[in-house]
Amino acid sequence: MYNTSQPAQRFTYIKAIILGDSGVGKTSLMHQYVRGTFSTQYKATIGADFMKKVVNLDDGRVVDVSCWDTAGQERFQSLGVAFYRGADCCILCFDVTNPRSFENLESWRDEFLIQVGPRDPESFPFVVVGNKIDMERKRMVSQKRAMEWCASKGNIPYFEVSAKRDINVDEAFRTVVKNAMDQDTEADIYNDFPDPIRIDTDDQDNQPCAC
Amino acid sequence: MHHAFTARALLKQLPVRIESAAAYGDRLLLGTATGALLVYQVSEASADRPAAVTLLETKKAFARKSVEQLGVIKEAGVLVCLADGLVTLHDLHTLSSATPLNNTKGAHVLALHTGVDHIDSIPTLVSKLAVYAKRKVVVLEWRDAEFYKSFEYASTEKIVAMQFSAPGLLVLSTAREFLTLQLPRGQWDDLFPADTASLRTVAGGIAVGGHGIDAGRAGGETGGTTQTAGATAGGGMWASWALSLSGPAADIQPTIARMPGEKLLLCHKDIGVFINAVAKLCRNDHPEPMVFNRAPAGLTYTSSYAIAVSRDPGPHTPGDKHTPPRFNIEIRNIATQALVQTLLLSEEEPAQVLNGGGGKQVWVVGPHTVWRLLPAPIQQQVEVVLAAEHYDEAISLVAQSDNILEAEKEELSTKIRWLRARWLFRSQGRHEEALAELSALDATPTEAISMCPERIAGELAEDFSDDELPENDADTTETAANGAHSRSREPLRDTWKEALYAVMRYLTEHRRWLQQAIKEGKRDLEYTVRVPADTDDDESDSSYRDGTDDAGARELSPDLNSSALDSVDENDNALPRVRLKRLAFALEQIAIPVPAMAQMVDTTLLKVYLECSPGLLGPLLRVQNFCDVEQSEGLLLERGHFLELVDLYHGKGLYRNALQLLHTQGSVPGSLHGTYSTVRYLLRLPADQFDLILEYLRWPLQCGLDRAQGRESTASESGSEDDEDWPSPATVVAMVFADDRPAAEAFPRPRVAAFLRQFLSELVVQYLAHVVDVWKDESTDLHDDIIAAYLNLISSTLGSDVPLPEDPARGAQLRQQLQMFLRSSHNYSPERALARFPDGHLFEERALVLSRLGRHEHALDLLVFSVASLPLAEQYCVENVAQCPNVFVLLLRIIVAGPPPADVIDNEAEDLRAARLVFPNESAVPNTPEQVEAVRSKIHRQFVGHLLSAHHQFLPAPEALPLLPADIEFSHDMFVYLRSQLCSLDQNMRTSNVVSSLAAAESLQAKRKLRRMQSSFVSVTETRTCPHCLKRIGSGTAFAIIPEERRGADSSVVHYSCWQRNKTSQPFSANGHNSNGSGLNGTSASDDDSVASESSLQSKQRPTPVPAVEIKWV
Repeated sequence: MYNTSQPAQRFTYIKAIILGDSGVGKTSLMHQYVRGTFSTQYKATIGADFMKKVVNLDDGRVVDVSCWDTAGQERFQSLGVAFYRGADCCILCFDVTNPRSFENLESWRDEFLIQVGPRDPESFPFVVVGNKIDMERKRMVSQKRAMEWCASKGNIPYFEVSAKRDINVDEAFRTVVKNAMDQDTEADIYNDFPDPIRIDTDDQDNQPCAC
Repeated sequence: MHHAFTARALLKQLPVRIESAAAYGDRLLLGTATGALLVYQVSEASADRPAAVTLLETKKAFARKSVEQLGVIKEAGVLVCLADGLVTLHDLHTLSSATPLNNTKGAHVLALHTGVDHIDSIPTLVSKLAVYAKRKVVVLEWRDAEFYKSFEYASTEKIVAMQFSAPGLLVLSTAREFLTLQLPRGQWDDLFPADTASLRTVAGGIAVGGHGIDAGRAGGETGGTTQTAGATAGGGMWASWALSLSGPAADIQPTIARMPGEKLLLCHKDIGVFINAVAKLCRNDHPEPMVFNRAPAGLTYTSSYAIAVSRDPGPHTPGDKHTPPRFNIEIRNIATQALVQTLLLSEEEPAQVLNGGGGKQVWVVGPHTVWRLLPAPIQQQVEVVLAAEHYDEAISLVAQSDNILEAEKEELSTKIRWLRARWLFRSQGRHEEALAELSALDATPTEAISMCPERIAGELAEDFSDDELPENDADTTETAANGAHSRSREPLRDTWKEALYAVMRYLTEHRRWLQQAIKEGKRDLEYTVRVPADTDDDESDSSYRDGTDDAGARELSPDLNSSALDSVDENDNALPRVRLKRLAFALEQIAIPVPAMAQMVDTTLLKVYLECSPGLLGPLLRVQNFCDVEQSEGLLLERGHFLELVDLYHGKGLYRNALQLLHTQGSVPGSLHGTYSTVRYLLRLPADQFDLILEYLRWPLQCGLDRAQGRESTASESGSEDDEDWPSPATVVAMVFADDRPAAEAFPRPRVAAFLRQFLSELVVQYLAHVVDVWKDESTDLHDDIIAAYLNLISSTLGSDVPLPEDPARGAQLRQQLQMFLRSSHNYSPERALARFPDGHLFEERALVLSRLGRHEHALDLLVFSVASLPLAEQYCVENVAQCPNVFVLLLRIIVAGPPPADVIDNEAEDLRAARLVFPNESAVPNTPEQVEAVRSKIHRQFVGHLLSAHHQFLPAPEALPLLPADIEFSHDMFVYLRSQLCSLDQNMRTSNVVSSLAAAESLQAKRKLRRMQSSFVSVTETRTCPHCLKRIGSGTAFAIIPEERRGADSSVVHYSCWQRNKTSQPFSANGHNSNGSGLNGTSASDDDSVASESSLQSKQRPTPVPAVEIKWV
């Protein structure tokens, strides 16, 4: 469905949503991924944030990825349906030094699926990201445990990353975007086009000359 | 098409010919061809009598000739009469004192307008009369009922119609074009040509088809100079009107008619366009021109309808079904422009149509008949429109209706929107739109749910025939088209799938709102709920008409033919009656408890998921949800979603149900076959469900054991068919107990150990090893337990008479583990451990425990005689010498003393074996006890030598030498021992000498220091003052002497109290009281010297290490 003869011409839009408990580093991940920057200051996200990045996949496809960052405290209640509508993939984040954030992954995933209501929930593209591996000494969630959980949820890809040191961040995003692209059907792509503007309807707006 | 109006002929067969008419308030004025004026009183219909008119007065000589037009300026109390080409003004109340307007000779068109205008910013009631006469337009103006002024404007063209668009703007029409005249400036502007094609173009309409039935349209476009209708109605409540009476068979001229909302409808032939008060096209409200079926000769409006009168009812061809119906009154919805109703009033032409009574009355005036068009109650009209499923039409109808209270209007349109949403959902397949509308109406989710099929909606499901049209509608043409819908309402599965996806999204949204309400702690939420009206009310409400008990009242048929042919004469007294079926409900705001609604929403969502997206069942049931357990349970069981059922149970805290289900399902083939699912589920249970966990863990463990045994007995033939599903006990323990889950860590460990002990000691060891190694548990009981478990295991390997091949190796491994534990753990109770050891075994382990108790002698005894391992004994001593320096002496004593007699006999064989093990290269293999003893003593003698030479530092001669037997040979080892003993004694002596000399030197130093201290003094003279308070240091005060090295200048003596005050703040030398000035701190030594010599105190001080010397005098 992609025309490989002129790959650079074909733009596809992917909406990626970053979820996870408060303070696991969702915003940092997004900033690291999109801008390659990191700030040690913690600033709680209010509502939601949004960033865009154009990604060149290995196979020549060009994807316009929009990352939607949520406030971890919010859960789902107050975020509008527009936030989730049309999500193509989801990045589930936890903090390897905080076991609670790992345990909550399940409910983040479940709530997300309920809200989005995809036709095929089992194969919705997720990726699990264990952040803050630069703080190895404080680690509380073992890689094994995380991988077990991912395996039990239908082999979700798992990445141990550090937004601070930029370890594996790009790989995690790239994987989920690629999976989302493979999922994507033509219908989804066409849905993204706005309604055509009809030029012929408005051309008589001016008062006609009375003579 | 519906029956919006009923025409009733109130005046019939009048003897005179009516030429013109006007209505205001409750008066109807008719002008006749003979110049007479008839005044009628209008009485509205009430419960006991129908609408009627009563002749009040007849003015026979009102005008000299035929009264061509009448107009009423109610505000100014003026009746305008156009007769014989001249406009005369009459007093409206007396209908006398005619004032002819002489400058209006030849007039044939007039227009009226009344409105509030701000003149010099004072609101003034301004009424205007415009008359066209002989190429000029005359405008008369009244202000606040007083005649103000008249203006004249020359016109180059012949005006055939005119109408005020606003107080300052007159819209006029010639035969060819529409013009505007600005008042009072008199500026003429062209608007657009007055022909059909132009009107279509300016209205932007792409040719409108469908409406037009062109048959029998009258006349050409040219010619005709006769009068044209020009009905006028004043704004607001003071309606008045005027119209000109058309001549017979007049050609259709452009028409200008006033419409509600300050609009004018400019009409030519069958095309009409709307313009607003500033003569701009109303393109937003009316994107397309109004197209009438018949070219209107007269136009007016009431409520939401435009009413047009045409000259020609169409050819009369009875019996021909293809011929369009005949009519001469055409009623259209102004907003949607849809044809609402057509009426054929009479074969004789109804000439004029006009409204009065504030736009509420509609009159149709023919030459000898006057009809009144009576609107059906809006609710009934709506009902009929709804029956035809024209919901948008109904909404527009209500929105424009002005004979209904604002609040009722709101309610009615909400109800229509509600019904429309239901219709969209049920028969149009526009589910998303329908549900969005319901959301916008704050509708309770149950409304949407109830529209789903019964398997989703459950008891809320509605009977689908409930909404069906009344039976007698079924054969009408209108519903025949919709019959397709009715039949296709049997939902197709495909479309239902889409519907369910829409419902899913809808419910998800509601779910989120409910969650938010719960989060905010709200008890209940307001929803709009449909409440069926009770039938009695319904009857009385809907029976506004000539008689509620009218048995002959017939259901209104929206059929075009029948209503069009409703001859007024025949059905004069029978207004059609509609039972309010669709509207027979009320919408109420009802507060519904959040939990109840949440349960409804969640349970339905579950059903929807079951139907169209089973993959979302798990997520829903795992997060906080309000699904009804009983219902959901049944559904999930029925569909075999056991895993999701487990999630449901778990979410509701019904852990036992979940486990029981897993147990049941585990025993039968299926996705949950085996014990693995149970074990996995147990991992999810919180720590406080410990008892339950134990209860249901029994089964997997036992199964694991049984399978392990089964496999042993049946060798390896049926090896690993589904090991995944049947985890081994060790795996189970690793998963459930020895896991890094917080719950596993919180379990009561002794109980876990006790539980596991019922199955296998290995499991206890496995678990407790995890407890001790990973969780660093230090409780004595658990450490004891682990020892006991080890002992159990070891004794099982030792105890069996026919040991399995792997047992010795396994036993050795276990013993090694036990020894490591005994060495590493400091938390077990040695006494208890000792009591547990079996007799005659495990001497090494016993020795380890004894060492903990400090019973080294016993331990060594065991090692030397029971284990018969001298290296072990030596090793033991090395390990314990730190705690017990005497331990080597003990070993020596034990070896020299030899075994106790009983032991020799008891452990003969053991000894022998031990001897062989310990000294395998010994040539003479002993055979008899004597020989053994000889060998033993020989070996021991050798070992004594080894001990003396290797560990001489721990064997002081005074203690070791007496122990040695007299006959011990003086070997090289002995030589080494004695030499090293002597060396160490010598070393001790030298060390003592050094220490003694050092101590003497220290004593000497101390004495010297004391002398120096005692020799220092200061003199306190009469003049000596304290540098702090600058007061004398006299007798009777306590003072302090500052030692030299802490003193800055000559301030060596201070008051004790001053010193106390200052000692914490800063060093004395820096406090600035010294008279020698500051800045000398760097050279304090020389400074001190100079101070000493300068002062007269003869102080002889030497540096001392003591901080201060204090002398107190009392």
